[in-house]
Amino acid sequence: MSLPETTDEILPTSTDEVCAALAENASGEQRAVFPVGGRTALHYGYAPQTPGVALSTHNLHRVIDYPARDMTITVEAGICIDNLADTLKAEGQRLPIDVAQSSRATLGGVLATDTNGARRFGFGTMRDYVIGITAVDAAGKPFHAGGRVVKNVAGYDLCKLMIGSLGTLAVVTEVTLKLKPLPESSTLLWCRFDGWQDLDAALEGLLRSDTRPVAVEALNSEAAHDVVSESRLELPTNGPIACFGFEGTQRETDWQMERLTNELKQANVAELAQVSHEQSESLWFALADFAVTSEEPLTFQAALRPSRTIEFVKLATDAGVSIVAHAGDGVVIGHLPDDVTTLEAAQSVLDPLQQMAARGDGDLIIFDCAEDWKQSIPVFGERMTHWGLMDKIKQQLDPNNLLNPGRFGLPAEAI
Amino acid sequence: MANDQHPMNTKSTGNLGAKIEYEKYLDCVHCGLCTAACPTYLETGDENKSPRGRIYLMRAVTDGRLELTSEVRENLELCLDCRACETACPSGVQYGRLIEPFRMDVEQSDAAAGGKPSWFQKRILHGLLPDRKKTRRALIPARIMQTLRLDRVIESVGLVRLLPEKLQRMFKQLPRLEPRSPELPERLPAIGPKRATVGLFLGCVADAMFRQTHWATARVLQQNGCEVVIPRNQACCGAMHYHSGADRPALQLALQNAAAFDEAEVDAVVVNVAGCGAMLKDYPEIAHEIAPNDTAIADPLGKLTDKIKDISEFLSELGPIAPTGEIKLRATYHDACHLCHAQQIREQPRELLKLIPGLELIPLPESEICCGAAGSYNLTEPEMSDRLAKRKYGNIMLTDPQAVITANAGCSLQIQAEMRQQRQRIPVFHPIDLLDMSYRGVSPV
Amino acid sequence: MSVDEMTTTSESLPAILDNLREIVGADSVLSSHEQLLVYECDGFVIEKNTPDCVVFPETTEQVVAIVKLCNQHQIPFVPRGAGTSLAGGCLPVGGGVMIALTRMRGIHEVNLRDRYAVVGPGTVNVHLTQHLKGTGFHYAPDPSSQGACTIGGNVATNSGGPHTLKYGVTVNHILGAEVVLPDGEVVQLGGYLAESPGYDLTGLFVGSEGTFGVCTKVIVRLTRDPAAYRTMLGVFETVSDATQSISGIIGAGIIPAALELMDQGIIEAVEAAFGFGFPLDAGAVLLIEVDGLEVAVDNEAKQIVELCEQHGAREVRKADSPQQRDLLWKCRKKAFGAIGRLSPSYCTQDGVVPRTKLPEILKFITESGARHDIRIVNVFHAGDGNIHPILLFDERDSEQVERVLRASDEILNRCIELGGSVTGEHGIGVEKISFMNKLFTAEDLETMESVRIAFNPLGLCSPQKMLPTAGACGMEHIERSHPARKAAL
Repeated sequence: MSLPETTDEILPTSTDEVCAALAENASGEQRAVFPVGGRTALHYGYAPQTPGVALSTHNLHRVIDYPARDMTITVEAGICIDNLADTLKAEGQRLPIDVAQSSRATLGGVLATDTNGARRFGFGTMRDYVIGITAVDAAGKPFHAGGRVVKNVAGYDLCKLMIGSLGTLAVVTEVTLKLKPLPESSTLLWCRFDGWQDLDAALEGLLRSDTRPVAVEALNSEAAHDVVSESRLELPTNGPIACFGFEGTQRETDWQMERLTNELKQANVAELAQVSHEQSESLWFALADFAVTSEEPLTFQAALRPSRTIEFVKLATDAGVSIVAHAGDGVVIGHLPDDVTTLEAAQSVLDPLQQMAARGDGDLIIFDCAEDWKQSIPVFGERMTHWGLMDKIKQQLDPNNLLNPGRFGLPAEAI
Repeated sequence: MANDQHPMNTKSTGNLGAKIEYEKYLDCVHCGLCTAACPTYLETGDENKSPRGRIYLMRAVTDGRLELTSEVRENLELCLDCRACETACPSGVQYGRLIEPFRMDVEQSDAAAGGKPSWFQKRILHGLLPDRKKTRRALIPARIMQTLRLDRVIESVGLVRLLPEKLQRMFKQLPRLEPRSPELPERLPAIGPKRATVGLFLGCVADAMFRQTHWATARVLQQNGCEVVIPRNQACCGAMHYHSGADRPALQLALQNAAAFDEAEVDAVVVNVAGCGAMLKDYPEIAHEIAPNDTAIADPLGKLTDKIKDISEFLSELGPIAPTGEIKLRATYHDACHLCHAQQIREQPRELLKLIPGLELIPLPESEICCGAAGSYNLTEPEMSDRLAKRKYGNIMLTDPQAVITANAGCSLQIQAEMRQQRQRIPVFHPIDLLDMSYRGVSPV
Repeated sequence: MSVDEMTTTSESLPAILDNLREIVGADSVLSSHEQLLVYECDGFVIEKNTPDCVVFPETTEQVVAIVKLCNQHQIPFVPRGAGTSLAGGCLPVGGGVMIALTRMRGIHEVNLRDRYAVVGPGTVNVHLTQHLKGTGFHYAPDPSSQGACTIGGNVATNSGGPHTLKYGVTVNHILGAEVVLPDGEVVQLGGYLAESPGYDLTGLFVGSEGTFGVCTKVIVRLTRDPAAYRTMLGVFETVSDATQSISGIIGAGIIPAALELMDQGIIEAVEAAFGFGFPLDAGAVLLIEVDGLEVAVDNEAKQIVELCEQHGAREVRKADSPQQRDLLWKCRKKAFGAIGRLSPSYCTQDGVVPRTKLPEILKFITESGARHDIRIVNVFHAGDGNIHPILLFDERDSEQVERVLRASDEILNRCIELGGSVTGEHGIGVEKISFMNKLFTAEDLETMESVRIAFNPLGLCSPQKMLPTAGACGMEHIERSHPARKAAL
């Protein structure tokens, strides 16, 4: 847990109460404020160096407005992802973002960390779904951006600014989402290859495929073993694995499963397993939960060009890293092996990976590791030119550096 | 600030544009959708050199908001009159019917202010080119030179540079002239059951330089069951006169053509040069501008215009008889502005070409962007004309063609000239040349 | 800085003209009155102001030098693409230097495997489309002005278009941008990759209407072409039946690629212009397109036909050939031009309401038209709830003009009341700036202002755009000025 140990918690029940609490703090004690939701991602970023108070969205979980026919919903940010999904399911709709630990994770947390998963290839990420927000800045001033309509260009899109901002700019209290219909059918094709080269060739073949998968995943044996055992399905795990997801009408998924099976048979696939609609949920769930860290010494996420992804996965695999890659998008999640117990050992695994990522205009960020390692390993990769601008925005919106201070390690967050 | 920068060049704008129906200006809603269709805007990115900008300038001059300074003139003169903007315009602005009468006004007010047309305008543009016989005669020295290969000697030793600049350009523009072909007879019979009687329009430059295409057109029409009538007393279409300000002479030529084809009693008058076709189809509009409400002029011109058809348009309406001769050729088709924009004819020539066995048509990027020929534009605006020729050449080469096909004499000259500049030996054909060869079972090489 | 201070720039201008010519070359600077006149407005012609000069950079370095020069002399500057904004997005409110990006139009890189393309901001949207033809990929946002508008302009306004219902708007397809900040610093926002750490400044930059800096390169996401299309035309007795069908279709879980409504007035004009064969007595038609796998589209089309019929469609026609599909789309995309046949002038609005409120807002529009004795016709992106009521009038009748203004305001205010917005895709620019106070609270605007200050502290870059706080002068003027406005979409 990356919050100072003696952290108090306040539990507001409305946006007004959030305003009041933050205003009081800003004009009074000026303690650091740590917005928290389901507490599933507090390890992300640098731990705050100052004591402060946790502001929990636990009691902000209402559905404010759900005009299902408009395919939008406005909810409080503390709603947990599973509850949101249930509400939407009743109307045949969903937010198509894969979230780990979805029974605990909250919408506000998903928004703050820009969580996503396998189906981002077909459906995108939070920035494609958040159309309106209500948030409260560090001084207790509430503000809105966007609205409740799916198309709207009035004003600056502060919704985008909040996504992935790790609670450093404002406390998001309400969110309006654009929704998608639940598909009639969701299936996966699990494919084992004899080598990474064959798998890479198959991925390249997708450019000309007649199918349109919503997920294109690549796993090494270590990860495949974990995912498969978590899913409780019988699937091969010994070798490079590619996994393709299809969603739509049953007719569409049936056709695509068969089509891609035929295409892959031309492409040296060693073994194929079809995961039916009924079985698919447990596999999607297991794929999403792979990102969850438990005992692993270090978990990272690398961003690469899709064309360079498999090369990276191979290098990581050789170093014993357990890997699931959203290969269609070039996003790779890796857990370092248990035998990496020292900072030096971790660095010797990470250095070549970081260098390879950087060569392809990519980067490698640390999701989770021992807090003291973060002093030596750049958590957010190599700083890019826009960090200066981030710093200016932080100064503007939170001049007293009260919200999650130090989380990004920006100069404006220096204490 | 700049208003008084060019006092010498500033003309009184009293009635400039007064002939234009003001409503035609108002049709433009200033949306800007025309801009990217305009070749000169594509090249420069300057709104002043776009259709929307030019309409704005003309209207400002007409309104008296702006003096017609040399800068304004340059921007208006740089217009190719290719009408690509009319295709792009959602509001149906008749751009041609704005810029042409406006330029006419400018030319006439220049003349009234004592400015004499240049020797080039008088002798070459008006005197020589529009006259079929004179153009043909004028080409004789070129023909002899080409036969003796003297032209290459002159070019290689740089003698061309001794000619006045515009004659230099004309010299460079000249294609390899085909051996002289005989004049067309007045009447050619239909082959097979007769389906129609059609008049064939010859034009001036085209008849001098591309008579072989006239023969090809006549033969293709015959093959398609048409009796072809070629009235001797037809004239130049008048486009060059009209575009350089000589509106009355243009009207005279129009009336002469109307009379010639009226006498011939044909079902349609077929044109194989896009520029002439566009002008012939514009006769009623032009008559309305020059002599409003004069039915003695409007009626015969309207009657002629109703019968005017581009050869590809005519054949596709008639239903072409497919040729059988194989022509193994990878070619690309360039849309002549006066065909695709002024007459909205795009698919018909392509469909005709698809009938030719063995001919492979590669789509040309930017096929509807002007090649820079634009009538006498390559003589009056050489720099922009060259830029557009190079742009066209670049796009043509992307298709790796063995031949280029285009349905306008000016485009053909321009593209051939650029090919020579680039030392390429890719031939340029009229679609009808190829169709004719296919009917005759002749190879183009 | 106040507006008064900024308008004194013409004094320092002659001094910088020479510097500008040194930066970009003499041919690339316009400064005379007759060259600048055409730059006094864009697609929005109510407000006019000429810049002090127009400069045509061709490289990022030149943009940097221009911006630094402006900073040095405290001269405002405004970027401009094709000038197709319908909200005065390119209006040089404080005069100053206009940076025309039309010569930065290179398509620098197309990478299909990594699904991106890098283009100059002056690249015309449709040129990218044409460039990608035959690759199996395309750039999805296709605003109706795509034949002329630039990618840089699309980024500035977060453009939409008829296919946004399924594919999203510009921001959903922008991976990154190279931006020259208002102080001349170059930053790379986002990149070639799907992820980049830190704040989503790319997402924030898109739609900032030129107030956050000058975009000099754009990295766009490429999308695979759909395998198949089906295009249909639903004919309805009333607009209400048509809008009910829209809710029905989307409620059934079908997201068509496009869902466009034309009412009786538009049908009349379009039919006169293009002769498609629209029934002139129909109350409304819906242009519906589904795309996707060949195996799926027929089923979806069949479902849509059934749903339309359930909601009272008189008939649903299918476009049998690509030519018929093209003609249908031509009728839709060029519908605005055809309005000229109904009236000498027209004024297009750009409101948004939740989709289910469409019947309500359309009823209100009809009533508003009757109340002010103004004929109003409708053609719009029905699937998104993005309405474009077109108010017909004669600009020479000033009293009629007043009534058009009142009806327009009334309609937009009603959109806000129904939970919507006053612009779905045209932007705020200068046109809608007086509505910002109605859409947003003072606190909202303050927060937006503080973000603007982070990017643009001196306010030199695109002054007086988007936020009413960015220079409060002349607002009443803008709202009340002459609306001799005809606009195409």
